[in-house]
Amino acid sequence: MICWLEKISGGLLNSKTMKLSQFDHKTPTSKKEVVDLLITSGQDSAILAGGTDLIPNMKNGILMPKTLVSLKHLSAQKEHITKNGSLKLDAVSTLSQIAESPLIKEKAPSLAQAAFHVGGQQIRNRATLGGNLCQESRCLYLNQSHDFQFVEACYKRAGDCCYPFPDGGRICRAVFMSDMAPVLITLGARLVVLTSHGERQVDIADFYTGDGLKPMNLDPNELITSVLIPLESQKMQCRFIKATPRGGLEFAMVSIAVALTLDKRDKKCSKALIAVGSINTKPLRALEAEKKLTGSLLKPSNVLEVSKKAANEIKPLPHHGYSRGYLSQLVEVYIKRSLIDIIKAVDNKNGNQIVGKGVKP
Amino acid sequence: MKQAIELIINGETHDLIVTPNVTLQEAIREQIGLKGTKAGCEMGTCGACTVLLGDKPILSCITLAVECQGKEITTIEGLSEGPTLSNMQKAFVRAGAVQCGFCTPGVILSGTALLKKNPQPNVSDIKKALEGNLCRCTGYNSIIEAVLDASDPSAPQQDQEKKL
Repeated sequence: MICWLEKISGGLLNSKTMKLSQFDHKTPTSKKEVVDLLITSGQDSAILAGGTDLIPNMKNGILMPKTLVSLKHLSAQKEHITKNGSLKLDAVSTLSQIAESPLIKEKAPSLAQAAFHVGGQQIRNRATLGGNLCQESRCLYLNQSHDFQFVEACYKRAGDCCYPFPDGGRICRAVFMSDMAPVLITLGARLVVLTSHGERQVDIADFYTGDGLKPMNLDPNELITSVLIPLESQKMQCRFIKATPRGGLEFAMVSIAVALTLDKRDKKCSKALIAVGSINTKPLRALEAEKKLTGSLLKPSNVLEVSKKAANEIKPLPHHGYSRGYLSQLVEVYIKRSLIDIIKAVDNKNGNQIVGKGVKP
Repeated sequence: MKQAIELIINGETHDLIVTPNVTLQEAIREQIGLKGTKAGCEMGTCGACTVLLGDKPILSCITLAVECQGKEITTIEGLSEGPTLSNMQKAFVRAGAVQCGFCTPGVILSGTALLKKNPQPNVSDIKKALEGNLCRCTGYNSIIEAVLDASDPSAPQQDQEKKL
């Protein structure tokens, strides 16, 4: 008992709430130098891009890097179309730049939409694309200062338990909340990663591990330099919808990204990708629903079936107080809305009106 | 390790010596002594610490001072000229958009940045631009009125969506 009390009072006395602890700050001037510095600084280093995720996490004590390698001298290359037609985005572009770029709005509108819905204005002005893709996963227990919790640390804080899922085995089930990731998954994006022995490319679908302790397939000394969106994805009909409790400045309850390839008469769907973010330890694909949609006509009755199928196969982790049932319902409703929205857009283009008969968007 | 940095705050150059773990907000409030920038949640949620970095609103509580080396920063003190308030500040007074006043510096800076980019915003533009600033008193209606009031007077009165 005394030992327990001492621990608490000691914790409180030592806690410097909301103050960052000491660290080294390095400002390399090239990408190569960033990787070199990450290697020499070892395990206890972190990359500081916008800092909108890293610094709150450092204040909460989730991350305690000894060295921050700042990317402030790396200026973002403007987004452009490469020789083979891919849309290339620099990983240090801010989310404001992505949301406002005319080229991205034209070639990948759902990506611009997703960027527009991250955080508030002030966050978007600092947060970067690469940082958003590499953000820490979140959990109601974890994203608080540990000093006031008076309990043992959880797995993510190098402890020995999990509070939200006490019987779940030794894994961390913090939810991965990026809004950009599901969109890039539906657009089939590839990440260009700079390592100590040159560049490698990763399909973003293979980038997330689903392990809350290490959500990304990225070594501590690797840096995402750019994101490539292939030519064929730029012609897809794509949508992004984010369900939040109050409209703005929130992490999503569920975020839905959809991309469809429609045939010439815009009726038959030849390729479909549906990804759901903020619902599990990594963004999930609705593979059954995609299969159902592929090769079928895009019409309201199909949409109902597809969204039901997706809600059945996507397994939500109850997070931030939302129950499994509620999240499943959100998945169904928002997939339905995004598909209906595509039908509407296509109908408007063709001058038809089929939505509204028996289907409430 | 301490570093010497230079911040251009409201047009005035300040030379500071800081450790890397000092945030921009701590530098502005504690070292320079401009207390108009508020320390709210200090976790990047509430927007009370908003300052302008160049033209863009950012959260000073989650920005390191060393990251802003040589940059131009505007705080709430930089908007008024002596006793003369800026248009936005006058509009806030007229609309009664200040209650406890804690969120006000941040809201006014976000609003000022919005009008610089878009001189004739409509209500939904304003709501989107101010989503990063939490206000627990006013219910936002008077704030939105004030920003509309401060927007370009030659612009037509935008009373669509008056019902918020």
